[in-house]
Amino acid sequence: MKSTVNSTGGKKLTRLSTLAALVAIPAAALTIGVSPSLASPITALDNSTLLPELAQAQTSADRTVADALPKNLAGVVDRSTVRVMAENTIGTYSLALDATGQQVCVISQMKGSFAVTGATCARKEKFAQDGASIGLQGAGMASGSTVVYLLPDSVDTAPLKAYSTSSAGPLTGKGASHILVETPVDSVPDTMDLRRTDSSVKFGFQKLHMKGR
Amino acid sequence: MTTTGIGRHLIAVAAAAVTVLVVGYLAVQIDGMTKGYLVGLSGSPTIAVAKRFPWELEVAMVLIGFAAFTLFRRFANPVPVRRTVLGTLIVLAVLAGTLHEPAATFQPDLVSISLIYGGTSAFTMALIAGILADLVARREDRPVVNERPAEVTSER
Repeated sequence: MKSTVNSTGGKKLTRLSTLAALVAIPAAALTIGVSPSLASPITALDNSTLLPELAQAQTSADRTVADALPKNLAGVVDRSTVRVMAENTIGTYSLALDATGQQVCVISQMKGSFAVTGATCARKEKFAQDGASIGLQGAGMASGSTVVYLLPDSVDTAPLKAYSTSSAGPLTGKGASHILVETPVDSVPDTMDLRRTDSSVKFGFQKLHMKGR
Repeated sequence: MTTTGIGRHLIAVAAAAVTVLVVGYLAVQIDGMTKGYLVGLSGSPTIAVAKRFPWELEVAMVLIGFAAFTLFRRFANPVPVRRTVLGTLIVLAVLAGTLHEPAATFQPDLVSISLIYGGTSAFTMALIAGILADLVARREDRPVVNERPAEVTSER
């Protein structure tokens, strides 16, 4: 029995599939091009937008803090980017970039006879989403444990600040509105959605829980 | 090897490399969007965005895969050209794997990071597996010639 091969149909299918493949490439390019517009923007991650404090020259107060950094932190933090944001009776709170320039660091320097300094860094994109926070705890600390939160500039911190009782005195400084200092007597909520001034995406504040609190 | 043959091999290498880079770029942006950022030409995050699952980039990945497989079957002939595509993908996968850890110590640009993501991606591993399976299937289909010499009879 002779078998007939329908070569015309096969060739047509081959041409169609090749055409489909060639159409798929610009379709993929279009999809890739459209993708960024489907994302809800929060903020640009360049220093001038995310950390406008860095645009100002380092002051003598900034340099004093930078020079006082412990040796183990001095290698992590870029000293030339240290900027004092705020201070109160129990500590001085600063921001800086890490040595690579890709991470935002919050530095907490406690005052008193048992002076303790700590810093934590978060990648810029994570800082824009969640901020940065550091908790210091020690038997010798007059204030007990302290958690310092650094929030991005565009976040409206007023609702959150209402929970801070200022037991450590008022926060003063150019960045005081974006620093929250939590002492054991403060009852900061576990989570809170805060408005951003330049984006419709809310900032989700999350409390840092310290052991023993 | 003729000039046309060399040209086919060069196109095969280029097509394989471009596919890996495009797949890598998609993987970089998918990873970024799920974590809340878009990656710029510098290879580092440039804009923070609300975290989301970029389904449209997964669709783009399927379209790229469809185009790659179809054009491979249509134009990657003869078999040596297919072996060139396979070899290129394997070399890029090994190179990407070698660069993966050192990349954590410096900030790679977008092309480098796309190569690393693309070369080490499951998509590229699947491409390598698919081409290997294709080459094995071609060997199985090859007719086995086993003829006895014809008997010559003459009649007077």
